[in-house]
Amino acid sequence: MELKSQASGYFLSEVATYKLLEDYSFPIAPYRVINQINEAKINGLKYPLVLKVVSPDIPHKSDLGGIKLNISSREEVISGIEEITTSLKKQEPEAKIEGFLLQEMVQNGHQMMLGLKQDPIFGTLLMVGMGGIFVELLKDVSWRLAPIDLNEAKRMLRQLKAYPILEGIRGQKKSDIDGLAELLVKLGQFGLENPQITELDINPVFVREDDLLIADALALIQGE
Amino acid sequence: MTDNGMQAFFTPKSIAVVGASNNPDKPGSTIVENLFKIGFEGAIIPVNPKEEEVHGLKCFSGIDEIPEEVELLVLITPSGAIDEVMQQVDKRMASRNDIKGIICAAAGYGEINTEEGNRRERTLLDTANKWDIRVIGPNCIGVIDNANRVDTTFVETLMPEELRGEAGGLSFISQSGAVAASLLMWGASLASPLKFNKFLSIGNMGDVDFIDLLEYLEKDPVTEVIALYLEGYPQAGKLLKTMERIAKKKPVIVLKVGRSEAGAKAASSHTGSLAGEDVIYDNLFKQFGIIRVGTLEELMDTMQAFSIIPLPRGNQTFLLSQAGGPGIIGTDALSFEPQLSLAKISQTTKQKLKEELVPFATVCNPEGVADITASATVAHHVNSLEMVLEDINVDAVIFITVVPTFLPKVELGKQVKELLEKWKDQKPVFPVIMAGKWVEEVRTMIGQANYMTFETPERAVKVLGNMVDYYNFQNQARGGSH
Repeated sequence: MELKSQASGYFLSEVATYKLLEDYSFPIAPYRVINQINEAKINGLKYPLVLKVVSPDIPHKSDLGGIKLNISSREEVISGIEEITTSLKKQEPEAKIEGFLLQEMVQNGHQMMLGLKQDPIFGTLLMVGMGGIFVELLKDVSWRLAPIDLNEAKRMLRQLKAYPILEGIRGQKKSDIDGLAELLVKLGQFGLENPQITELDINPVFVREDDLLIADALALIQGE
Repeated sequence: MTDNGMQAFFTPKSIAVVGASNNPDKPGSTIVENLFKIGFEGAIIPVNPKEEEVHGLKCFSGIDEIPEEVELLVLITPSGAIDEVMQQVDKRMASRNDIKGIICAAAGYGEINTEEGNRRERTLLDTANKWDIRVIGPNCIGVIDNANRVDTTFVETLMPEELRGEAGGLSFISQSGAVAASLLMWGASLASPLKFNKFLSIGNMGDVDFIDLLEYLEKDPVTEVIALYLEGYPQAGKLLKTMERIAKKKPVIVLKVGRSEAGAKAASSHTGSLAGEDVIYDNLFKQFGIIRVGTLEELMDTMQAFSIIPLPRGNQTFLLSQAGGPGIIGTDALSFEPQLSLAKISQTTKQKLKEELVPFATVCNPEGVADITASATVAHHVNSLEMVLEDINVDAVIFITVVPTFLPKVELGKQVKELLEKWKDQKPVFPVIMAGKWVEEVRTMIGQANYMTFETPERAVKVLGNMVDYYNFQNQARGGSH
């Protein structure tokens, strides 16, 4: 018995994934989508911003230079779009670019990762771990079968080696652990009510002192 | 049927052994002998076309020729004969309709992964299914139910004859026949022979599987502890949910093997790439209060401890040692079980210990540990142990002694046994009696009175850790603070 990710599926873009999560009021960092350069207005978003390509063909954007951080002016938005477009034309000429996403850059908090997987033998699985690029190396993650209640979500967090970081070490303040636990409970409900979403990464969610903000998400959908 | 058809395996009125033999080297002989030895009260009916009589019982040439009612059929004939055997079953059922269960012990079915093996398994299962007969196996060693005096295995259990049919509270289900057989023989060889209640080898799970038997054991009033040897199950989520429901009432211990992960997976989400099967099993066992053990040795210790030792009512552990090094090993082992804490005993108890022991004994430095020194007498051993047990801040005691030549060991064993007897329903003691064959006699004496002793501090601490995990889960399931 080996576990395989469903091969017959497709990735949703980050924006399409956000739309699904918004129906369940997941806290997503403020963003807007622009389709053309002349729409590059920030419409109330606060600098600094992150600029990201929107394309269902590029699920792991940062691997291909599809992200620009620390954007602090309209000029940088425009030059950023040009640079990403040029870079992708070289590396992934077939990729369809649907537009660009401007999102407020979250300034502080600990980066955590939440995950969901509809597993053929176990059922609806939830995962949480420290986010960022080392998660697959360190594997400090915990898993539960949905649904879970708030107490189970807290136990799930306490199981992490990195848990003391959330509690605050070396004079740091405690992060919003309760909020994170509530988000895990909600993710369980989301997973049970949306079996067509076979896998979901919320990575990262910034856990701050008083709130949480999701800064990227990726869903894998069953079907053609 | 409310029992899901399982009752036929545990309380059959009659058992026909197909392939019964007089040749002591054949499993068909051992099965009949085991049924005799355990004192099975129903009819034993041998079937073998080559024999007139088996072990003094009249033998029939075919299943369809038995005049009495047959409730359970045990098949030990080679798998090549399955077509003929199932034709006889079919014929009998058309007229008598009496068989409720089949235990197919023979191998050579689906597990060999050939077209012919699969065909034979289908033949067995299709005929059984046609007549609503439940099947355990094929490729298993059989079933023992000590509570009802049924033993259909072909294993020489090594259980002393006087203990056969004596049922403990532990029931065990194994996906491997060899693991089952070895545990049965090893368990019978222990200082305190392991008494199973129901012992179930389920082989290929062609029909009856983990969930059928777990649901039966859940309701079985004489099963108090359940243990499983698990290799894999296609609907793991459903299995785990069943185990969770039971774990709220009875401890469920599992040795889940197959920890190495199958190579790299197809590119996917990060979540997908992190979803290794073993890590998920491990986490869900935690979620559902199922006690996972890592080795056969830990399985054996844990099964026995849950059957014999009272469950601690908290995690406050006191380590009382007569020996320096083993005491440190025990303290180290405790530090690897974060659910356990060293108990802080009262000033009164500390004072009593100091008055009891020699001046150079170390009492509670660090807290939760006392070294009664190698010069400790029998009285020092048992009196200090009792003082610690009487302290309300202590939930469990790890008690270590390396019996020296100048200590009257039999007297020590006798007094420790009496103390265990006195505290058996109150507080758990984990006696570690370390001196190999020198103390074998002592450990056997304590074991025969049905108390458990350990050979090393690590093994005792590991088992205590498992028991406290289960205490915490039960507490949490009842809505206690955690």
